[in-house]
Formats: sequence, structure tokens, C-alpha cells
Amino acid sequence: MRRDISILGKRACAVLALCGATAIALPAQTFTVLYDFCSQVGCMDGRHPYPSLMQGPDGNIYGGNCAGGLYRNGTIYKLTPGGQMTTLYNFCSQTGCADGAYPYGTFVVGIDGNIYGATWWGGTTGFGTLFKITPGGQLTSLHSFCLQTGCPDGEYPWGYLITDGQGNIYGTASAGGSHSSAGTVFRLSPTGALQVLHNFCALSGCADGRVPNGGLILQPGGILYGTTQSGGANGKGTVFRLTAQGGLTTLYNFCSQSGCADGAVPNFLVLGADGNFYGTAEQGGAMNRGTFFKMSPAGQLTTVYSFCSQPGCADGSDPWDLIQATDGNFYGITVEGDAPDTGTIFEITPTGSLTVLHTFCSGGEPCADGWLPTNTGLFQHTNGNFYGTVSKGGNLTNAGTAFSLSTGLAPFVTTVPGFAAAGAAVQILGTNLTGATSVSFNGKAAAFNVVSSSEITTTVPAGATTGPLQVVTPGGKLSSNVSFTVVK
Amino acid sequence: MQANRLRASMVYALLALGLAAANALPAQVLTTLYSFCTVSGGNCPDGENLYAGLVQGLDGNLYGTTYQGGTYGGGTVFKIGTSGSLTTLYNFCAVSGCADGQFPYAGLTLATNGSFFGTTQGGGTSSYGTVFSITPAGVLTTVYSFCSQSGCADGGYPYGGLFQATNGLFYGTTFVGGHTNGESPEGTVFKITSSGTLATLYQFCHGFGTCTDGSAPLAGVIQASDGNFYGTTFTGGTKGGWPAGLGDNGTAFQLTQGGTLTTLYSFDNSSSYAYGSWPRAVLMQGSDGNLYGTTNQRGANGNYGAIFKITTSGSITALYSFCAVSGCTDGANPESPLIQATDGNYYGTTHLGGANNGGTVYRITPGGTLTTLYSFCAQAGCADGQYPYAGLFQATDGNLYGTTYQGGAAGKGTVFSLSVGLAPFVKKLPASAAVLKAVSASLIAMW
Repeated sequence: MRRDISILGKRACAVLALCGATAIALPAQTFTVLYDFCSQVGCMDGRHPYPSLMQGPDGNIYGGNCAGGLYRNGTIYKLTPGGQMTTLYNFCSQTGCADGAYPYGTFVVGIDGNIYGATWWGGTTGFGTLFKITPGGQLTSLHSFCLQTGCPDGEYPWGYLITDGQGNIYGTASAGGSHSSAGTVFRLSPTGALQVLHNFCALSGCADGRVPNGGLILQPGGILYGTTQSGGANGKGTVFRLTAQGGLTTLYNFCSQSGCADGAVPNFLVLGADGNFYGTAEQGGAMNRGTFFKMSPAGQLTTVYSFCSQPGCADGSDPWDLIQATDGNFYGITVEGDAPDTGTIFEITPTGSLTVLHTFCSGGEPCADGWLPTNTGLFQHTNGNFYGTVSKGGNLTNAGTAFSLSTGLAPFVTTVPGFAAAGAAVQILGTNLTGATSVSFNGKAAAFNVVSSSEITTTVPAGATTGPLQVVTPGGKLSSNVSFTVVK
Repeated sequence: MQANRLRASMVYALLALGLAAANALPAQVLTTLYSFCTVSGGNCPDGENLYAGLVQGLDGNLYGTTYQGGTYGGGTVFKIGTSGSLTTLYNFCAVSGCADGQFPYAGLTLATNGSFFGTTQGGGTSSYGTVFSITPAGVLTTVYSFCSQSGCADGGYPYGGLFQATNGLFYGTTFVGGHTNGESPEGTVFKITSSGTLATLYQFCHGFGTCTDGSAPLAGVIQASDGNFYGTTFTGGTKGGWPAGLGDNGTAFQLTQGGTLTTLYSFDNSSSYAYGSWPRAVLMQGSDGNLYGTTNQRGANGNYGAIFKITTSGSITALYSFCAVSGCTDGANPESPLIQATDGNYYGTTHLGGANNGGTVYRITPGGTLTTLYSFCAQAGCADGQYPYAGLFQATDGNLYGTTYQGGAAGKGTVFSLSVGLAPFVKKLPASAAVLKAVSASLIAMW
């Protein structure tokens, strides 16, 4: 099932030629199909992976399928970094799919070591669920949307959940809510109580945005940042800031410039290591095929890159998911691109030098590497490599693939949560952590416990300050991908 | 002779029991004829976990498949007498690499020559399933191995069974595959000769992008009296469309013998969702000429599925939405097709719901009045069966026969009969007077 597709050959040369103008030295990179879905009889292993992948405390990769599995309504699976597949849960095992169906968005690991996610269908009334699943596959439904008339809590959650250190889950529902079914931002408490933090279209003309589909960023003090795909002053989406008390500020209205040169229909937002926000807009820009933008915390937006500016859209178009990797560059996917419009993986520097790292289906059909990376993105595993899925293509069954992309980035550690006060419990995820000899928060040593080769638990030490977290292991020193913020 | 007499007296006894209960309910008694995995040695050498239903052979016995179990774990073909004596006819994976097929999801089709034809979901030379034939004596021939064409243009992983058309060919569907240049496949409709010459009649999901013509058929097709084929796709169609191309709600389609597909209906974004979504079962043509089918999810009462009627020109009528009563005691989430019994009513099973949430057997009149005939898991430990996936079969003794996926004495599935007070009858098989004669003879033998 595992096939290596070296792109150091003919195609990589073409990429280098195209990218010569941007003068980036292309690092050595290896794209590998890790798993071809529908490899098991009857597609019992699932098909059409839609949720993005994420790393569990055990170092394995967790994801979901929108179809296939025992009940044909999707699965949750575990994939080792080497490509070994285990189906953990088959949705629709309960009457009326009360346990949910069609997982969506991105799963997220909680401070309790469980994995949290959303389904956009199923649940008690068929409008989606929030769930948690243990690494062993025990699923618990936490919330069914739309139990009340009018769906005041929202409906069809798009996932992209985030957690804090107190066991709260934050997310967005793409529809439902109090106003025009414009969607909600919600928080689910550890006791299972769901509180709507904002109902979109609260303002006339939906000036506060509608359809929040790009996920959330949580900052100390409970401040949330996110995007809406429509609404706002120009109807083409917004970036918003939401306080813990529920006060929403629109930081930017897309399509404020002539011809939507500033982008339209934002998809994803990332808080960069430099304190600015970076994101993708699916439409607008110089070619009206999407942008990569930078926005200051005060809302000043700069269009850094307009997609489809290379001949034949070789740089891709309609960008979706975005992450910042340990080299400080941003990595993402485009849904379309050069004919046959099958999607790309790109790397872009904060200043806008773009490199196409992989073009899906470039070898022609049947697209053994997959195609249509819709709604899925990359994530960087603590082993330094990128992992992702595409919802279609693959060897024979067009069921999608899971892939890895190695660009030579070094192993690192990451924390759950990303910020906490002194005395708070913090989970460190990494690779080859066995035998670790020290954990420090910006140089301040902390007590710790090595749970496994992929997980350390620790406590923020008194007197710690904001800065990189470091773990010393027998294999060397590992630093956190982002600065750990110590809150008062 | 003695055995026949015993069998007859048992049937009379069942009828008598049924009559005793007639005050409250129509005459009906469920008998668990066989519990799988009750034979010693190995892991369920008699088979386990049945997705498929039964069909009556010319000898009067019922024939079926188990998805798993058997000597090699790849599933079995079995025959069972109406008294419950079971004979395993074939154990899949008897050949290295399961080249003889593995995991039969669908049931058997009685061919005009008296043999049976079926599909396995896996195994075969490419591990994407097979078409096989098997004689009543258990001689199996692998007729075709799927994904044996370049790029899997011939499709793979068939979930549905076969239908023998008036031209003698067998018609079926594959769940995946069907790739040819410029296409992004999501399953096929194929026709195949009894000797294994396969032609792909239609490839679902033409072109890149959304599958407006349907995708991923789980059910087979039938040939209606107008000579056209009719079927359902699990996903695809023009409604839903979110997430793109995957959340589409499925279709009912017509396919001419020449391979021209017309989408009769794309399930279901009506205001009430009354027709349900995501059909999994094969259609059947009623005596009124209309097609009848089930949807697994959605429906007017939530996410519990529905029964619909659709004309061959695509005019759809909602007959029933499951979970119309509190606790879904009327059943939920049907996986199986309907049959029309000799009383003109339609009979089927629901996978879930019922008084014990173990699934049900129901009757629905052509006008849409539903009666729950049996709720599984009425006995301790679901010894009476649990979670039927398959539809029912009315044998010529008038009784209904079916299977459950699990439950039974060992929890691995059952064969059951349900007497609903219908009289024995003679069944006419297509295009063969000899078959008719043989069935009549077997009927006489049974009684």
C-alpha cells in the first residue's frame, strides 16, 4: 500500500524552473502516499477523508473519513507515521446516527489526552455533533446540535475545534443560530454545557459576518479570532475578534478594495510567530483566484500573494488550509490549480515567495497520489514532517489518500495548551522523548513526567516567563514550534 | 416421507400458534430456524454475520450466504431446509489468496438453469470481489474477478446482488471503480454472461467534480416490465452537495439496456425530507407497475429512513417515514428492500428500532399503512436475532424467511421464518416451464 513518489526527478525540475524567479532554494523533499483508502474489502477502512489530520498524545496521526466504514457513514482512524491504518470508530452505529456521521474539520487533542471533533451530520436531530474519542476508540457524544426549534446553538459544525487548558472546547457552527441561520461561535464546557458566544448576522446586513468556517484562534484571556466566509461590510467575509464576554469586533472587511484585490471569502487564519495574523482567502486578489494575506493585530491588511499569478495557474488557486511550520514559513494547500485542477501543496514565506511543493495528479489519471484536497490541510508532526489527506484519487477506487511530505525540517515539541498560568498542567507532544533529562519554560526548569516516547506531562513552574519551551533528550535538544505564553 | 410429515406438522403448529395470537395482532409467529456459530471447532465453521437474505431453490430449500466465518473465515454459501437443518455448501477462501472470493455481502440469485449466481465483496484475483455461480450441490465456479481491467475500469467491491434479465444476462453494480480516461469513478452498473464476459454498462460520477449522476451504488438493479433497469445509488445526485460531492443524498435511476441513464429522483432536500436519503436497498416493482424502495436515513421524523414509491417516469410518493412513534418502536434505518407477498402487501425489515431496538419485520400496505410484525431482541440475549440487514423472502409455503446480522444463540446471526398466515402458492420463474414444474413439485414435496 505504500508507494514512494519521488519528486526529485523530472517534475521537480519543472517546479524549480517555474520558481526560479522567486529565488528560493528548493529543499530536498519527498512526497509519499502513506495510505490508499478503500484498500480494505468494501471500503471498511473508510473513503473520502475530509477532516484534517492531527497528532495524538501517542504520536500517531488521527483523522476521519466522510464515507465508508462499517456503516458507510464515515470513520475515525489512527495512522502511524509509517502508514499503518487502524479504524477506531464507525459512525452511525446507533439508531438514527445519534452518534454522528461525516466527521469534519480538524480533530484536536484535549488536556485529558482524548481527541475531540465534530460531525456535520447525525446526532439526535441530524444537525451534527461534538464528540470525544479515547485513543482506544471509545466514542462519547458531547453535544447534538439543534435540539431546540430554530437551532439557536447552531447547526452543521465545521469542526476546526480548539481546546484550552481548562477542558473547554471552542468551535463554530456554519449555520443555525438566532439570526438568519448565519452560524455561531460556541464554547462547550467540561460538564457538557454549550454556550453560544456569538450569533452572526446580529447586525443589520450581517455586518458582523456570516458563515464562520475558518476555525478559531484562542488567545490568553479567552479572546478568540476567526473569519467568516460571507457577510461584513461588503458581503465577502470578515476577520473578527471576540472577547470572552462575547463582544465582537470586525477587524477587517474583505473586498474593501476595487475588484476585491484584497481578497474575498477568507478561509483560514493563523497567528504568526511575529504576532501578525496570516491567512488565505479563497477568492479575490489580482487574479480573483485567492490570496495569502497578512493582518496586523489592529486589522491592517496586506495582500502578500495573489494566486494564479503564474502561467497556467501553476501556483494553484483557491487556497484553503494554512499552517506555520518550524522554519517560519507557511504551508498550505490549494483546491485547484493547473489543469486538471487537482490541487497543490505550497510553501510561502511571510514576505510572499511561493514554492509549489507538490501538484496532485501531475502524473495523470488515475491520480495515484490523490486529488481534491478540499477542506483538508497539512499539519506538521513533531517528527518535522508534514501529513495530510486528499479526498479523492488514489490507486483504483478514487477514495482518497493520506500522504506525508518531508522537507527536511527537524523534530520539535508542541504543547497542549499553547498558553497557561504558573502551576497549570501542560502536555508536551514530541518524538523520541524517552530518557528526557530536562524541561524548561524560557530557561526556567520544570518538573516533568515522561509518559511515553511521544508525551511528557509537566507543570508551568513558578516564575516562568513567555518564551520557547525546551526538552533535552538523549537525542538532542527539542524546542517548541511556537513560544509558550505564560499568563498571569 | 416421514421428515416431510414432521415438517408439515410443524408448520401447522406454527399456524395454530399464530391463530391463538390473532386477537391482538394478525396471525404471525417468528421461529428462529438456525443460529450461526453453534457448531464446534474453529471460529464459526458454519458461518457468521449475515448481510444477505435467502432465496428458494428448485428443491424447495432456502439458499443464502454468510459474510464471514466458515472453514477459512471468508464467508460461506449455505442451504437450509424450512425446518432449519443447515448444510454449508461452500467455504470461501478455500483457494490461496481467496481467489475464489471472500465476504459475500449480497445474496444469491436463482438462475433459470437452477444454479445460483452471486457476488463476493472481496477476494478474486485482484481482491476487489467476484461474480460466482454455485450449483445446489455446492460446486462453485468463479465467473469473474473485479478490478481485473486496467485502472479498475470494471469496478470493484460489489455490495449488490445480481439480477438475471430476460436476455439471460446477469446485471449488477460495483461500489467503487469504473475508471476510464477523463473520468473519476464512483462505481458501475455491469452486465455479465454466465460464462464470465463482463461489459460495463454505466460508470457513475462522470468527469471530475460532483457526482450529479449518482455515485457508489450499494444495491443491485432490477429489470422492470418495460425492459429497463432500475436502481439506486447511495450517494451522488443533485441535492445536498455538501460537503462537495460527498454529502449528496443518493439517487434512483433508470438505465436502458443500451446504457442510457436517467436520474429519476435525487434524494432529498424537500422541506420535509419525506422520501428520506441515502438508499441502500434494491428497488422492486409492485404488481401495480410502480417501483418501491427504502431510504436508510432522513425522513419526515428525523434521521430514521423512509419507504417511497416511484413511477418508472420518476414521480415519487412518500409512503412512510420511520420513527413515527415514540421510541422508534415502528423501526428505524432500513437497510433492506421490500418484497410484495401473495396478499399484495409489502414486507420488509428495519435494521434498527423496534420495541427492543434490535430491528423489526414490518408490513406496509400499498396505501402506506405500516404494521410492525416483529421486534427483534424480544428474547433474552437477543436469542431471536438482532439487526437484520437483509430483506425477506416469501417461500412457496407462504411463510416469510429472513436473516439477522447478529443475535441468535451464539450472537452471530440467525435464519428465521415468520408465518403471517399466507397460503402456499406456486411461483412462476421467468422463461422456463421446466422451472415452474420443478417448483410445483418441490412445493408438493414440502407439504
